[in-house]
Amino acid sequence: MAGTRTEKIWRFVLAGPLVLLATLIIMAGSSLWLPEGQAQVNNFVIPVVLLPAIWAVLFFYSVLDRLGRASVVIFILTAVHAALIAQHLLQAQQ
Amino acid sequence: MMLLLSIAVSALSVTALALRDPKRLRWRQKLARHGASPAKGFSPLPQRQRRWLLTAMLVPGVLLALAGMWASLMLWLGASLTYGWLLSEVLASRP
Amino acid sequence: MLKLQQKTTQTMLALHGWGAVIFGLLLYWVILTGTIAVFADDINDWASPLPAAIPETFPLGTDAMLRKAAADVAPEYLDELIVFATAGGRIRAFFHTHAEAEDGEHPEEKGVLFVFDPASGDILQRFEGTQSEIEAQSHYGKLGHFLVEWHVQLHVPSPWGLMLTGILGLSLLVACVSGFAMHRHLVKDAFLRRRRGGDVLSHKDAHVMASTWNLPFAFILAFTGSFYSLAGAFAIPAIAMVAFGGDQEKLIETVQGLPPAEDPRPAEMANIDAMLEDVRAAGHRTRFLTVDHWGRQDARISVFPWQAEGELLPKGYAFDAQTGENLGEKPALGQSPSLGSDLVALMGPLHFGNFAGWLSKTVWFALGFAGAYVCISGLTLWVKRREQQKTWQYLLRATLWSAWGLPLALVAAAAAYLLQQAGVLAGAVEPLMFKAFGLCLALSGILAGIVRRVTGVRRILVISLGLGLCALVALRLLLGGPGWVSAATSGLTAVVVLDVALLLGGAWLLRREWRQTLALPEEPLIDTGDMEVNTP
Repeated sequence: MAGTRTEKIWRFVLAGPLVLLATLIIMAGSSLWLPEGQAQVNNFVIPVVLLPAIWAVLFFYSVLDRLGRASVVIFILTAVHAALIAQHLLQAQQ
Repeated sequence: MMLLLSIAVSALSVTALALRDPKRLRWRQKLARHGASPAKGFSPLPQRQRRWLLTAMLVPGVLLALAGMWASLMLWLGASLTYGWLLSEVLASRP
Repeated sequence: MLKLQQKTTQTMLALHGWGAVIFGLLLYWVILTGTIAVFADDINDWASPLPAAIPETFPLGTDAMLRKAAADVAPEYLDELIVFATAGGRIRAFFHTHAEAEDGEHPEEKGVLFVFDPASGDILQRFEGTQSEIEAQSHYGKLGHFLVEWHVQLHVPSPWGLMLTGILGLSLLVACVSGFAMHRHLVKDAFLRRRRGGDVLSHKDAHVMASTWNLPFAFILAFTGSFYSLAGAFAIPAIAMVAFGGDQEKLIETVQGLPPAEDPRPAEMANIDAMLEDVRAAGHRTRFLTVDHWGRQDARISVFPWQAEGELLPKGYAFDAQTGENLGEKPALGQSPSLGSDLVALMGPLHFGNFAGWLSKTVWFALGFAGAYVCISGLTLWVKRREQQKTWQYLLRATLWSAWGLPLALVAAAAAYLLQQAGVLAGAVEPLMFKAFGLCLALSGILAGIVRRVTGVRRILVISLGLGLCALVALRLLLGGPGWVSAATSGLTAVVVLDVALLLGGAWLLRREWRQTLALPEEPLIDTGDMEVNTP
């Protein structure tokens, strides 16, 4: 976790609040692409159950990988899921 | 019954591993040189036998899992781990 | 255990250590109260026993009790009913509806709560109002509830308390993963516990050995615990928002199934005793039951039993409210079996350890105790390694305060509960417990701050706790609680077992403190390669 002061602050922000936010968005967004299953509950129940695991993976990745790459990967994952959510909500409104 | 047997097998293996644990015995020997009572009658287990005992400790869990006895599996795991910890503490607290 | 790059190991070490410094004390509070809360039901039985044990949680006559109560409530409260056992085996039946709150957003349950004596079928208590009004008046089961609320949300209002405990759960998850990753000799050091006074090595072995044995369960409890907290705090609302467009009703329909078409015509309810007998015949003990739309054509009854011997996942049965026919098992979520439903169902037994009665609860208690020990030994080790830095001594004092002051404050809260029950203290029980708890915690905090030597802090608090545990038993007996002989002959197992456990716990602490005074003095350390030893 060595680096300049700015890098350290960004690492802290990324691993702390941003990863928590990313977890929430990825969890909610994955309910839109996961298969529903016969009981029609798997798509939204499994992400909630796996919430701690999603967070843990993102958290350790954010502290262990190169800062730039970790930021980009987490940003892309979050953005894709945020876009899915936005598209779904817009469709629901129409 | 299966559960009790499983816990017994694992507890016995843990006991044997603990009593003849090389690092623990080495520490006791060092203590003995400074006046504490040595661990009489126990010699460190060779690596091969330690592996066998470690396997024996884990086999009941594998069998319970294969039999789909999930409640027993969790109880076995919890009881064996607690026993291992308490045993290590008790062995360390002997003067 | 894992071969990591030096930089990765350093990162893991920093996460493990600083995570502990920031979250360790609160985590200890959550773990300790959770450990004790494993026995919350038994603690309630101990604190407020009936004269004799109840052989069946819901005996023959439950149906008559419920009918009597149903005839005594306003029709809107027949909307929903939940029935479960509380302290001593008494039966709690809450007839209620979901009243619109003033803010129009968070409806609160409103209705009538009955507490029955299952032996006679008499109504012991009747409270009417919103759930919070009722909870403020009732006292059965409040001691266990007090503990559970510390564990679940540290008595901080929802959703903030849940978020806090959720984050604490995640920090425990990080501690497990980082601890596992950076410990090089997990198996080889499993039995290595070098005791030499109170030096760094002793503290390191105490921490590492306990956490090695506790690792699988610490991981399971951290995962399931953070799931429970975070799901309630924001995951479920977020999912409702996204997957169901904010339509909570649609979410509930998907999870519970479409409610039958509204049919408010009156209808005779089938005999609930027969349903309970049906569940009993399948080898189950009923845990709780729910009834929707009591006395209407569209009524629904569900019975949720404890796991039968050898079962891990809890079950639920649906019954036809008019014919009493058993409609079969219903999944925890959804209308047909699914992986998601099974995973959610699995979280409960894994976290609460309540799937095999006393046996599983004892094992989970021991594992939780080990977890609490790991927290305190880890924090102590952190400070020991920085013994020359004065600032860290404050953390050591705070650690000792938490380690011993918190259980001592819980003992004080339990004493307040017993005194209120016996009529010695007047007023609602929960505020009294808070006062006793707060006062005791504050006093022990002041002590931890002002006693000159740190060992003195520990000594005073440990002796107080040891004496406090024994005094709690004496207080229960002095206030007219059942004696051991009558409790044993009346089958009040919880009373006898918990009394003995409290006395043994108290005696063990006092003996431990006595032995500490005889411990060997500390000696300087040298490092001999793979094993650090003390010099003669």
